[in-house]
Amino acid sequence: MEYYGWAGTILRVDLTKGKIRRQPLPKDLALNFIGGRGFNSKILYDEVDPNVDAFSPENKLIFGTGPCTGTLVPCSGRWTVTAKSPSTEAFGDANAGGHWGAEMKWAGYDCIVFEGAAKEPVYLWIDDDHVELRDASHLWGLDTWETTDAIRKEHGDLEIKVACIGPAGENLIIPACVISDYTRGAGKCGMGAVMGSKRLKAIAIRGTKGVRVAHPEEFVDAVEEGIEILRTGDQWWFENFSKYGTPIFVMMFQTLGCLPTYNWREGVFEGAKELSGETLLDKYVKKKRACHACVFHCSGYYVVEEGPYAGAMGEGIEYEATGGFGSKLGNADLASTCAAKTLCDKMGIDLINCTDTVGWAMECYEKGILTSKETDGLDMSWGNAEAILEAIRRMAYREGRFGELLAMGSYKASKVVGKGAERYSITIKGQQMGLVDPRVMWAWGLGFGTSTRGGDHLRTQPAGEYMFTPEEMEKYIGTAKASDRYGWEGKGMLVAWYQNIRAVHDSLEMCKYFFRGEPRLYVEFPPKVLTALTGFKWTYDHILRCGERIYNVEKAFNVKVGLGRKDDYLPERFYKEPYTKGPYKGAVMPKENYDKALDEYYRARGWDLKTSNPTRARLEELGLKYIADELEKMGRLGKE
Amino acid sequence: MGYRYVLIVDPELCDGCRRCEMICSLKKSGDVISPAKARIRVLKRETLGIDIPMVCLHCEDPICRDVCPVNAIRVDDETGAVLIDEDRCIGCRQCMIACPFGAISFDPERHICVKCDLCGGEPACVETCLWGAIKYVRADLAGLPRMQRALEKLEAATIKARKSLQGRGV
Repeated sequence: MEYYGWAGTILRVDLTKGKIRRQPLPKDLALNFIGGRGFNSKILYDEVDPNVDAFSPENKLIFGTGPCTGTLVPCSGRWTVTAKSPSTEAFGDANAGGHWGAEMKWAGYDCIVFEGAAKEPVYLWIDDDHVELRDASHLWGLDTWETTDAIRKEHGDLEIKVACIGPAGENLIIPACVISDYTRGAGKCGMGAVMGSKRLKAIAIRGTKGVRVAHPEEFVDAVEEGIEILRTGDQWWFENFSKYGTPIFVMMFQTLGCLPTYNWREGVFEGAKELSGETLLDKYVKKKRACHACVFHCSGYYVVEEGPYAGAMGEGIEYEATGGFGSKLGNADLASTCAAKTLCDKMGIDLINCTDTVGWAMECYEKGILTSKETDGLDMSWGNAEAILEAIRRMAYREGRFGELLAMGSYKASKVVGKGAERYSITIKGQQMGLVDPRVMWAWGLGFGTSTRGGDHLRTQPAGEYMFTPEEMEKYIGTAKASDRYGWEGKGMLVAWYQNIRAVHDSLEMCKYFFRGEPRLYVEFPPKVLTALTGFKWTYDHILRCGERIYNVEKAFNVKVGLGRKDDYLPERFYKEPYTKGPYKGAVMPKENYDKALDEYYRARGWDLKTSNPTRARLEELGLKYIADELEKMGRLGKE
Repeated sequence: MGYRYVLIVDPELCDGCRRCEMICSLKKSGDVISPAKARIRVLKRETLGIDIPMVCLHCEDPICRDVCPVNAIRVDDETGAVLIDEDRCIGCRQCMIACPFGAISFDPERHICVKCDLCGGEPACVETCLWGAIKYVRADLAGLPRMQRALEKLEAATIKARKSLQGRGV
């Protein structure tokens, strides 16, 4: 059928046989899983045995765009890549912004599913309906910038959009990501390594077919209304986020006393001012740049013009770089964080995984668990900026013994090292966490623990924890208690709701920063804009149900792998090691409270409290009877 | 006689979000959002941080008009807009070849050349741009926004300097 909003086609690329085929987008999938992340998750669950090795040809690598991608819907420039993850050994996905997703959609594809593995390096060239696997042996070994330049030159068009892997992905290092538009990383879960295992270097696209809109006038009205609510609602947020982007969080968290410092040990950093969003804007940011259809432009184009890191440049430097390579590693040299970010982009390494892995190595070095023998002579003392950059390079190329170690990511490396090194790997389900400290952000903490792709703040990002009024909490979450910043009650329900609505945002492929603290944007905007765009009637209840369905499909994949309640906890550090200074001195996350919140969360989800397994009743309510049957056969269906 | 207005593009303020292309495509095609259907295009050189909206600048003495063999292109007396008469256009694409900015494209469905027509005096791209990177301003005052921006640094420095000198005031 012909669609509005969606492109209507799933592209299937068998890399083993070199065969390409098209499949019409099933209407059931569109209406029940929305798009992007939702489509990908469903395809992964249905088509990939959860117990295959992440690097085997049986794993599939799925790229997805949402109904809003490539349209005027504000902040709708995102795309998702999904596969079984080599870092969590369970469900994995990652998403990114930039302009590549829109190009994929304009070329006419909702999903691209890669199956099998190529014998020799290849890249996929998509020129609308013309789809072709091309030799990539001349690109193998190039960094992501060189690769993008080379492909554009090859086709004689500098406006072609390219998503690719760098040396990190080729070398199958766990922290490898997929980079689009030179600087946009789909970071989580080692997706770049899966792409490398398939010897797929890049996907280059020129798309001109566009997206059809069912009701153009209503659509433009809905879009403009959304932007108006955003701009007039929380003006401080709009202005400052547009101006600084996420680097503004360095000083916000420092002032509060929860800026992750020294591998998550402390909440204040003596060099925070040097790393602030203001300093960054003042010294290095030359221009603001936006992802596709963005109304914020949080991203800064930066150039370091002098000093040892002169020449470092790129775009989209944000808090995970300035804080991650900064306070988290005890490093107050802002220019070096810019250089590290550029290097990661070129190598194709995820910033969060990278900064955490280096942080882990630094703490092990301090504790004497890693010595200069294991680091091949590299001095991994806190704040050694030169060593940080060298570590990234060795990680990407698996150079020497230390490079091999870092290439595993902190979680797996800590198991190899032993000697208590596991204690310093700050990971959940093997995945590194975004820079928000659960000790003082409790709903965020519970969100981290129960995320379906391992330690990750974006699965939940419960901004409402401090933004919603008690009345709003009562209305949307079902309990006003959730608005008590330092109470546990209601947090389980809040997190479940947030995860469902965030699954919707990811499936629309919209940026979560668009929503933040304004309930009207969460509740009224998506159904209104989707109805005008797709021509189908959408309601808030239906949309929220889609989000819950998507979350349960991902959860079921993890249950099949063998993950359960025991895996939904945080690293011990957050329960047991209080901050020793700052406004939050003494703060930890009390484990007994976390347990209570976890119970409440499972109850809200209709999952078994003891095992966390989904129950038949809830799965059937969500139209997932076949998943209930499969889990029952494995003896992993939750007890009602 | 009213004021003349002109389209002004400011690459420094353009963040490259491409919303102008999309609204243009939607308005001109009726129901499709595609860069190929837009009459404005944002070009990027990502690693240099460059974004530039490329669009017809409505030349005062346009070559496209001069080369048109069937006189389908004219300059509107009142608005200064360079317009293609779609009924007269024979789709020969001479105007495309002549335009130094590549601002004219070919519509493969209707077999005619198409370009920006300033939306009849209320350009949708201008309305959509949140940051003022495309403006439709009085011709005689067109340089003013740029002048004002050039002043911003001096302005900020002056305020800072004055404050540090200030006492309580009265």
